[in-house]
Amino acid sequence: MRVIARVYSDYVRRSWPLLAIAVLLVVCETVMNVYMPQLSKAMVDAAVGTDGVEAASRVLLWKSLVYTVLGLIRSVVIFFEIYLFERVAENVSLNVRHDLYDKVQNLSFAFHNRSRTGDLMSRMTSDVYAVRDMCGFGVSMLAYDVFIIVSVVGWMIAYNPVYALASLFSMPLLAVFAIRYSGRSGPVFRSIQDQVASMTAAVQESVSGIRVVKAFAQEDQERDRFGKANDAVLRDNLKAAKINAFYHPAMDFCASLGTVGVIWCGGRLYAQGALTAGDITAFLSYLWMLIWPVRQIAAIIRIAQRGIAGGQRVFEILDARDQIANRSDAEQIAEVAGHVQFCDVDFSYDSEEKVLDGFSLDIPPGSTVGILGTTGSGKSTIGALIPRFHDVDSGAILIDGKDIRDLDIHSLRRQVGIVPQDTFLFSTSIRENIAYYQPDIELERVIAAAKAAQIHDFIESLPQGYDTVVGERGVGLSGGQRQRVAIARALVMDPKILILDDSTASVDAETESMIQESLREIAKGRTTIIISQKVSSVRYADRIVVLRNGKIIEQGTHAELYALGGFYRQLCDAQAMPLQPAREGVEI
Amino acid sequence: MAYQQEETTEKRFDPQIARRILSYLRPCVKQLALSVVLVLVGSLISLIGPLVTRSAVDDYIMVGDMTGLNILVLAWLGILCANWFVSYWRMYTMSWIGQTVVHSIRKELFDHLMKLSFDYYDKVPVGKTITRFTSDVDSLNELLTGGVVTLVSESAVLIGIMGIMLSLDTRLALLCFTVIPVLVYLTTGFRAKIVSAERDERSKTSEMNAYLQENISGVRVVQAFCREGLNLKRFDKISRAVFDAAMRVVYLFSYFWPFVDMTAVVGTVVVLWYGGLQVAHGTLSLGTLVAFIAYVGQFFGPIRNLSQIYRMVQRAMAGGERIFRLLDTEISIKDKPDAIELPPIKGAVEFKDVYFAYEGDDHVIKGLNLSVRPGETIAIVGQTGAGKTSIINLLSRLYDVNAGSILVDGYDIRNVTLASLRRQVAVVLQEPFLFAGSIKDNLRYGRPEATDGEIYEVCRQLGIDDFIRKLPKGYDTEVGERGSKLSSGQRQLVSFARALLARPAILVLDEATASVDTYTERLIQEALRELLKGRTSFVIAHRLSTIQEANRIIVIDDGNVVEEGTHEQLIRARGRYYHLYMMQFSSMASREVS
Repeated sequence: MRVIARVYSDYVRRSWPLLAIAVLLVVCETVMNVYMPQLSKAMVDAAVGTDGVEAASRVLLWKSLVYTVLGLIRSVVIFFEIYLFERVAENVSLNVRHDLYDKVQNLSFAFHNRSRTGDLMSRMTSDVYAVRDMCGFGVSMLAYDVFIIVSVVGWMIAYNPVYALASLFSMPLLAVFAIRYSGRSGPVFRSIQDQVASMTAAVQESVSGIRVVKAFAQEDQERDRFGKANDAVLRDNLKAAKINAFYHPAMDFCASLGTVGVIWCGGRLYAQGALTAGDITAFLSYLWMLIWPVRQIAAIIRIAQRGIAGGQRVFEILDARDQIANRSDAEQIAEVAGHVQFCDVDFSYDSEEKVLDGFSLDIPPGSTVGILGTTGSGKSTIGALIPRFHDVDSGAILIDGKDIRDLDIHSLRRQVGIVPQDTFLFSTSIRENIAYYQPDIELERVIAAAKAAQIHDFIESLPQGYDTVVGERGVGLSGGQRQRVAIARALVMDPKILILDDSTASVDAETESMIQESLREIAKGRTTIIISQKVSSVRYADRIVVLRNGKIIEQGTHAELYALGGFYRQLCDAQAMPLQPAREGVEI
Repeated sequence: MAYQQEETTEKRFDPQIARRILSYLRPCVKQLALSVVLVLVGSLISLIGPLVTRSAVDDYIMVGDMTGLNILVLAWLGILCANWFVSYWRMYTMSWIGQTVVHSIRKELFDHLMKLSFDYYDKVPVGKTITRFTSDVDSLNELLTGGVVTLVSESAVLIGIMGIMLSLDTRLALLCFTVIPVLVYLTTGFRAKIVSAERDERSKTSEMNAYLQENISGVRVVQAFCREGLNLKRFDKISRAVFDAAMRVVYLFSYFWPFVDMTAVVGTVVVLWYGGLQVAHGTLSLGTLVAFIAYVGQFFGPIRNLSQIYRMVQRAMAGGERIFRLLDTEISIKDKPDAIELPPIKGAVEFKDVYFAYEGDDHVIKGLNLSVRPGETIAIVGQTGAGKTSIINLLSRLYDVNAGSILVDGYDIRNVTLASLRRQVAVVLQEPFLFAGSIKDNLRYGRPEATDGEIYEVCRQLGIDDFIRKLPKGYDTEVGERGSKLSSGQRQLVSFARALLARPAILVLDEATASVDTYTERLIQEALRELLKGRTSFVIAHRLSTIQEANRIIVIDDGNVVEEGTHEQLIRARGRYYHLYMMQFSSMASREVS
């Protein structure tokens, strides 16, 4: 109920005038539906009447015209009715989609680390449709049902309360069935929605990881996993089938039971002279009018339950609190000098193991800092904290002396160019990928960035050059090529602070040295943070920070640290190939 | 941006596809027969309802035969109960058939998917494959359950009503049937428009879904580049297009139904007016007219419902075609019929004059010859695109060679079963894929029967036990979709251990430690010296420091070996390897020397 109330107040209410008109039209239609049989009855009466053929044919013609005109009016009413209800529903769907999309793309990295793409997708598609159907189709059926049942029952009671009671004796039973049906089917429908989502996720994962599956010859294991998910969908669907198969006919039965009452009591009352034959026929015909609406109750319940389940899943996302939000008095920053300070920062992902522990670092504007560390030492975290992808647990990060939590997030992120570890490219042209920050940027600037990232020549060599489509639906690029496109993408922003997170890991030696070469150019006039585990990537940095378990263990220039003979020296030696050939190599 | 090519959602009736869809019903023939009988019984009961009440009024109540009425009422009650029972089994059986068929199609699809070779996965985006399992299968289900029931029951009711009407009064019946052509004309005319509007709506929707899918996957980039505002605008545009397309369908429907309703009104008026005149003239009995009116009211429902079936059929045809296309996709790499189990191998590998192209004649491997002794460590060096990864793809037979052959312990790998080959060849990839699940599940992936003890042992040897134990739940930590909760270095470490736990005779490391720091990498290399004993291994690495200790280094360029030898030999030769090596080394040495 709370879900329905919320769907109404957050979404449906915006289109309340349309809804009100639509409901009014339902009332009109119901009235006509109840009245039109009266008209045909009158025509039959006229036909058997004693006024003669002449009079009868006049009445017949006249009433036929009236019937046709009423039919025409009803058609117009039906047209607007369908259109308006669906319009309300599509409005709801449009607005829910908007809110969901806005929310999802603003949810923090922490949220996205936890959730699965397939699951979010099904919430934004099939769950939204479930809500839409409830608001359109569901409401129109409900309105129609309510008016027809109320008017028919009202007419019966007003006409003959005792007889009405006898004809409607099965209604309490119907109510019991309806309530039990909605209680029992709700959880099953919700469960089906969850199971289908997890089956889809299972397929998605097996397909995405097919290389690993094949490499380890584990097709059987995947089959088992999918088989279980598939079985669960079947099981739940059969459970739902059982419930539907019991309650749908049960409600039909209740509706038909009314006819039993009408006949049996009617016969007795007629014998006592308390009823006329006409009364019985009238009651019967009205009762027939109830059968269809009663049959629809089950469908309405089903639509409502699906809508509620969908609504719950939608609101779960809309209510998620993992958002890095602007303070109300957040400050816009235009152009920063690029002074980055970490002041005693503590950070953990799951608030258990500290990834950074009392981390402090001062990076002067325009300088280049290399951050070197072992796997899992917190290197990438440092990069992710500067553009505020996560908030620190304690301590603060300052840019030009201002706490980044006091800054407008977008104005902050616009100053920070980041080349992430995992390169994600969109299924669009290389040009649009590089110009991602600002799609309408001139081609010259895109090319300049590509040249700086040492990818221009490769792009030119492609048949369609900068218009080549890449990503899942485009040509495959190697890991190194993707990384270079990502570097170009960051350079287009011309950021004051540039973060390269292990961005040359999968690039071969020759290309790496070319990138290194141009990085020295690129780094001019910006604060550059190079995160890497390769000494070769950081050795030109003004300062190198060596990280271990979230703490700085050494820092200084390459020469200083090399001379220090500590952990950095060890790393150098590991990479400087300290075996015999080194002797031959030194002569350069 | 064109996010997704349109996939047709309707298709004309195709007897071949129809036969194939129906063939899935063969295992449920009994249930199907039962449900058809139940459907017919149900329709019959709904037809006799008005007759029973009429008889009650005319034959008993008016006459005052209370005993007869009691009997009739009891009989009617009995029929209603029977109907409940019949309906229960009808609905359950139909759902059972639909769900069982869908379940087995999904199973077959997945089964086939697991057998398909990489040429399929290289071409088809994940999203499309998933659609086969969801909406395409649903379209079959819709036809098999809803469609069959509607077809059988509504046809039966329609034929029954038409028969009764004809027998009551042929002229009036025929007059009434004149509206049928109008109805058919309206339906077909509108259908063309509605179908094209619906197709438009679906293609807009799938475009929106593709946009959603991509922007959820790439949400980190979106946030890093502050594209939320612009993307929301774009999404709103796409979403608005879906809205407009949906409203166009709604508009057509809301236009269509009143017309259908109006034909029903006209039909009724014709009966009332003409029938009324006949009654007035005394050429038609009152009872017949009343019955006629009742039947005209019931006449249009079935026609309307039957017209819906055609759409279901079209949709099922399109869905079925795509499903069958996937099921018919040839498995290019499969076991020969007489393939033997590869016995436990020592690890000798021989590439004999191997040629290979991913597509057409564009060979990436050109006449490769390479002979590897058991237990040897071979390093493969070369520029991006030289063909290094292709060599190892061929070794585990992810692709087949175009010419030449690859022998493992003297067996041509095409003559042994894929499973027995791949179980003995483990690969650690540059971009490791971890499955959503715990670390332990992932480690055990290659050999599900590995004990906890073995897992801890391998991790300790690799020196990664500490890092795993420090995670919030240690070995039971969930790694998230694609392992996203771990750093890329950590993912590589886990995939490394996963490969070793599979106890392969041949280990292939494709840039396996590119994202691991040098220090950890060295620890791993030391551990590997122990772990690799008796195993043949292939190592691909950009970082030459990691491969110096290999027994043999081969330098690949343009699909063939250009240099081969130990590190020392190659350095002395001053060829390509020397050049590559110096480039990396000089960057290290220059500062030091200066």
